[in-house]
Amino acid sequence: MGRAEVVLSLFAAGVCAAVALAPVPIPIRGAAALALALYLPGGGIVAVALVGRPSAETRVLSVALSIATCAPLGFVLNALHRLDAAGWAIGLCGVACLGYLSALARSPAPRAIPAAGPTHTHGSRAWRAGLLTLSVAITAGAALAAARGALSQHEYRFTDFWMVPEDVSKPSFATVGVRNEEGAETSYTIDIVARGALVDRYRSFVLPVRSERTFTVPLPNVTFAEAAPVELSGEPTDLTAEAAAEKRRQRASDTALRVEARLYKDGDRRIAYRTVWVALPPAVPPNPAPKLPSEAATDATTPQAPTLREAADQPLPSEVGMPTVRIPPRPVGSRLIPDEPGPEGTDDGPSKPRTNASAE
Amino acid sequence: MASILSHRRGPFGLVSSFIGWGAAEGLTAESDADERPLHAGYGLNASLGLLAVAFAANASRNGNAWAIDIFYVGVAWLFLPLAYVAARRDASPRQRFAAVMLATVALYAVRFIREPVAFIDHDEFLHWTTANHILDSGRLFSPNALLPVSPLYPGLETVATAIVSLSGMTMFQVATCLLAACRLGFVAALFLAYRRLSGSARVAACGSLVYMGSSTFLVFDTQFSYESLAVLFVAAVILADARSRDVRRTSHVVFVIVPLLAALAVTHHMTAYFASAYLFGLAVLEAFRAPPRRFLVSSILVAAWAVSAPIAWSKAMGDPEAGYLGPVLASGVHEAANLLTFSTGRTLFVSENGYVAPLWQRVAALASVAIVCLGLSVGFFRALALGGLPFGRELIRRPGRLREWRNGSAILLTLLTLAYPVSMLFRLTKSGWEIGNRIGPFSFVGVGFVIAVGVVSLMQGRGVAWAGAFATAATVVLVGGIISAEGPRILVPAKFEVSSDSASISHLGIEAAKWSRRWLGERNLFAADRINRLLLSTYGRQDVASTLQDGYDTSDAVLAPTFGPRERELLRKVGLDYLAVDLRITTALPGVGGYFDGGDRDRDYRSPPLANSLLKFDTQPLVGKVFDDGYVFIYDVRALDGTR
Repeated sequence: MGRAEVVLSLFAAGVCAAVALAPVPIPIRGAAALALALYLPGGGIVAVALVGRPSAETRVLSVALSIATCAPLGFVLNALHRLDAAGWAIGLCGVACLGYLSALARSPAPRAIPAAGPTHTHGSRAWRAGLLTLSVAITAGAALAAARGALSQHEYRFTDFWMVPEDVSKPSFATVGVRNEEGAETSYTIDIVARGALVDRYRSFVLPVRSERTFTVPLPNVTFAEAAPVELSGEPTDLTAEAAAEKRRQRASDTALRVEARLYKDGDRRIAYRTVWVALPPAVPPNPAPKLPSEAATDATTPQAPTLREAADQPLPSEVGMPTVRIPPRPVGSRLIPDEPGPEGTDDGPSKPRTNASAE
Repeated sequence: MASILSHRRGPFGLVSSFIGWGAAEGLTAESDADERPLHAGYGLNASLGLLAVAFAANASRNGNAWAIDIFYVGVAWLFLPLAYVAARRDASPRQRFAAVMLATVALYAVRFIREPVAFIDHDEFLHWTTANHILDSGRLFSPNALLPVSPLYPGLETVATAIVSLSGMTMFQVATCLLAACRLGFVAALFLAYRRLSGSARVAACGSLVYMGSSTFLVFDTQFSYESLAVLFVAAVILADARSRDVRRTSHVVFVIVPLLAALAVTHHMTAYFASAYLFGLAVLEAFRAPPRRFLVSSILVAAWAVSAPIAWSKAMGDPEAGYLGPVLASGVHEAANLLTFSTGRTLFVSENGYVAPLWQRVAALASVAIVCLGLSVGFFRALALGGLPFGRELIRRPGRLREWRNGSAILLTLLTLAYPVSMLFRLTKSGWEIGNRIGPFSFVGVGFVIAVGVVSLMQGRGVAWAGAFATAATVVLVGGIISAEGPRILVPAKFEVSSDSASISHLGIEAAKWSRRWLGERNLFAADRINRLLLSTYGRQDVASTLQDGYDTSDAVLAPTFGPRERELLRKVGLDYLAVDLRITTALPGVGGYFDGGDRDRDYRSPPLANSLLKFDTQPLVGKVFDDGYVFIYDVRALDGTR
């Protein structure tokens, strides 16, 4: 490698490191980063170790060594907690500069000897350049066509529907959301149902393609006071942690309340298009030890978020103009979501996931 | 052919002439001074081939059955003229090198056309996950449940995350650039190493073109996967070793070979062991050859480093590949042994879900194997002769010449071809198919060299028809290699296919995974099928449960007909937060043999699982269903654990 090329490479390493850290457009940073990671450090090592004229072999070894340099450098940066842009820029630039500076300190390589053999080319330079340009253009067109084909491939037309409690530990509200991926503008209606009764309804709204809408829905709280009595008589009170957890899970399972959000599409209210729900286990008592039924009764006096009955008695944000629906208390042993229709004929019965969503 | 064999008499004479028994040592030397460049028309032809490939890719996405045929026509179209010009007697070394590199670029472009906007292959998601962990945490070695061994060999991900950090590009963009550099560097190193070892650019060009027929060349070794980078290091080591025997041995060893081997040791286990075996073999050959043994000490030192570096790294990481590769290897060897006794085997050209490859594809795949075997039989003894180990009368006359080889690398590459039939044997088994596929890229380093030596020996002084015949044969080997590895799955189909990796990556699944990240946050522990957990861990940035990571197979709970205490206990032990269920898996048999981890319950299917099995979570009081898109449901199972 000649002296001029070494100096140029040294300069390039510094510039690439600076550009990679500068607030410039990503294509420019990308070019600098690729040169810095894929060629310059290895070029520095080759310049100092393999003195001689640059050749295809030294170029290839430069690329391989550059990439190989990243692995040990990564371990060093990892140990220094500097696996970031600055760490990489300094590290890679440092390796490259070290190599090129060492090469500068050595005697210069012999000049390249021009080839003496035939250099006949087919056609004029302009003709070759034209063919090359045409080739690149066709290749780019092929790649763009493939990318366009991949981006436009949407086998499924669907609607995302979700219901997520806002606070996992003590859910008082849930976010209900709809995203339209049906490929066309679509109208939706959402019902909020608890124990088979309509609690809230978000009347028909229209979503453009690839847009979404979310709602905040208040959730009732379930306490152990509402729970069916759990028979613990005859069982030891010094339960193991696992047994206590299982007992608590069993009790929660018996008393959990399911609040459903049902999505109807395009005014078709015969069957819910999508159904999601949150399962609200009873509020966990402060004392993690297993409780007897008599103890559990005292938990009901603890101030909590509104119970389901209380929540249903109050108007909900979207209920303006809607009749207030009272939630009947759940009889012991009844199903959480009864099969019979809800009040005022608004409930469509048990929700069944519809799995034949429209597909192209 | 008759003229080749004319100077021998009798059946033995004909056979010995054909296989090169007693062939001369050298090949016709070529002048480096010939600087004629490659005609630009070859570039135009390659671009037209790519246009056909892109047309086929889009046609496949639109559901046209003929798309696969057009694809292979496009590949042959771009490759055949380049193979022809590279093999011509009157081509300059520069033209040969340019033809090989143009073929490399064009075939990499084929890979890009296949996945132009995002990762679609299974292993890419595994390493993308590791890279994401590095970017998110700023630390190496974060666990990856999808492939626990991946963070322990972080060479590829380290380079990729370095460029992502520096450039701000996406991981897919960086991977595309990085893999292009690896691919070009690999083929260039292979060409230059072949040229060093044979002294002939024609051998180098033909060998590189034959190598492209390796089943892993087009797709597997251009995936965002650690082997794609590791093969570059191996080729560079072979080149540096060959080069160092002519100039500055010590500098090459200290500044090139040792760093490359160190990087290889932390990048990919299998490739590192291959490099160890290769360099160990070179040291052994150097030790046993007749004096002078100029490179004995350095060869032994290099071999010691090559062997000790990957072993030391593996031990430092807790010997992770024993549990990862061990069972696959044991099962593959067992099946291969059964195969030799005709007890069991894999039905060729039939996928797990019953798809049978078309006749022409079966013929092409078998023809490619036949051509390779024919090429090896022609080149084996000729390549040994090129290395200075002539068989025939000379050896009988002077047995002492057996240790007078000059070129240990050429001899070792020739012996390496013995791995090819072994890989073919493994490919006939179910468990060992992957082993056979993985041996391919290494055995083909030798296969390319040996076939090229044989073919060029035969072609010396002959006309363009021979170059045409070679080009045709190389094209068949290339197409056959692609078919044997990918078959009909080479292009993305129009319709979702169940558990079929690249054919199963859909917009719907990606949206569900992205939703999980946005609404549930990152690093929740999910259980999901094979495909959805890839999407959840990458697009969704979630943690996923896997048998490889914690030993629990969550498919037992997901696929069970009812949800009882055993299933609940399993989910509790795993500590799941969410469960993603994809109803689409009830519509077909799995393309790769299993829907999840391929555990005891998740294999040997005769019919898809029942939808009721997957929907049983609907009736669990403590289970919430937080997401529904009609196919993919996400259940909140945190309350199943009584302690949470």
